[in-house]
Amino acid sequence: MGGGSLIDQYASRFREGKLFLTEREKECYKKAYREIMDFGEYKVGVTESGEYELFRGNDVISTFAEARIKEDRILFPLSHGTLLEVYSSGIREILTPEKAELCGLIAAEGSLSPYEGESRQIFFHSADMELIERYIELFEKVYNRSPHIYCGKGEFIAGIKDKRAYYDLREIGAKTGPYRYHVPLEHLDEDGIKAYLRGFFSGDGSVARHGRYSIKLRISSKYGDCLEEVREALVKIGFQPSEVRLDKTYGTHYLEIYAQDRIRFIKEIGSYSPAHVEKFEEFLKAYEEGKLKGGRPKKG
Amino acid sequence: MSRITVWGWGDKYEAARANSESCIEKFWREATKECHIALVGKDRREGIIFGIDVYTDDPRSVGFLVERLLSLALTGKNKVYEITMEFLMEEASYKEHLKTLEEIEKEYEILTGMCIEKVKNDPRVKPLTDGREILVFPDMNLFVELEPEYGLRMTVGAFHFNFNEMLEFIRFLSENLIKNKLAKRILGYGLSLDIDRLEVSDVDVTEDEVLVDLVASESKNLRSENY
Repeated sequence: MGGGSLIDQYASRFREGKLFLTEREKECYKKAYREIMDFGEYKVGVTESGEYELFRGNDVISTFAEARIKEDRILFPLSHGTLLEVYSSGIREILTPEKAELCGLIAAEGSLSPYEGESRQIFFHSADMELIERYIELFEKVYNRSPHIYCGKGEFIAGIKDKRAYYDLREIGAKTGPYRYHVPLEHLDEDGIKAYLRGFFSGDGSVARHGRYSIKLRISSKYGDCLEEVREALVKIGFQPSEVRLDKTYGTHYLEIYAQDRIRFIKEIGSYSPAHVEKFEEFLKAYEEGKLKGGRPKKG
Repeated sequence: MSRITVWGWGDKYEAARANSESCIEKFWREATKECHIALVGKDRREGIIFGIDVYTDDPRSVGFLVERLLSLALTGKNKVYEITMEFLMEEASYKEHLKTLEEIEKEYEILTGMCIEKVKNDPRVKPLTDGREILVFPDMNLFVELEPEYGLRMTVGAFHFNFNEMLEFIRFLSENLIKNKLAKRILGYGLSLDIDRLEVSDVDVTEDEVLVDLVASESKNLRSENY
């Protein structure tokens, strides 16, 4: 087995000297790889055996057995719900949609306990068993461990002691203190942002009845600076939410998804909260029946 | 003295009583007139932010009250953000002019009428009316005052935009307080809705309604002490 990238091996094997290498680089690439994907500074070569070699210049950075090829980028699975994204501006680690949703759920209704101290536990609280089950499903997918469920006062709690997951979530900033969180936008692509918001809205969003057929979507948080990050995430994928507002009486903060963005929010983000889902279904039915302005007219 | 948080998060419910009793031991002075216990939470169903406030001059009742209030608030799919305590050197308990349920419903009807007058010619609303009924949803505070079993004064308040949902919610909480022997009866209601400060936030249209959301102008970009 020779060292270096396939292009290096090919060049060496066929005595392609450095002077000629630059001129014949493309030809060598073609012969060494089944396919070459060019991302500017980074390139990805697909070998005959179907492996992927990521290199910068002629230096192989890593090899991968599988990849998800998207329109203008390529994603390589790493460990614990993380992907390496290679795109025109460079490379970065991003969260899988499953891990992003898990982080959103933890930001809204979870905790890393204690924030300082000995035991490393991750908790998720919810009054809905459906959300607890969704949380466990995501946790198993990402960390291959299953949190146990117990009953709290008026709510269910899923808890697990897992150092590896604890430090991983802590590094992401999934929960930075009681009711405090960081939206890891630097590690989220568009699918990740939507998944994160789905998790967060399932926990801290509300769907309130508004008139006879309509609904109003709100997201609330104790801390305004954290909610500003949620707002930034919404704006980044093209939503135009309200500004973060303060309820002066109780010192909590909220933002609203305006009527113009509501259908898109329901269809592209949605929620796993059964109460939300029920109201979304009623609302969409009214929309389909043309009871809302902009809704589809009745068929026939 | 600033507010002290005695419970914030988690499943260690017993910590609320232990922390509040430690605070009493440490901070209740001879000059202390009253202790203000404030619980803030959210109804997960409709997103109503609510608060339960109790003022007491009996330090021995504080731990028990905190424990029972937390337990009661956590039931019914509510999320409790925090319980804080504040020691007051002057008497804060006072009687507000309270209204009956019928009076408060009438007051809300009058106020919404005024809101409709205020928005009906708004350029974002007027073109949409076209025979449709205008409904307004202003952010407001509604509260109910109760005669407490322990302490001097007890109120349950809510912040939201849907009057009927808020009323149903605070009445439900109040009835639970009475059922759990923390309060004797409802004394009356109060509504806080400053029409002059309201401005149109969003407009939604259905086949026969124009729904106008109104928010207090100063609620934008404001930062609380926690911000």
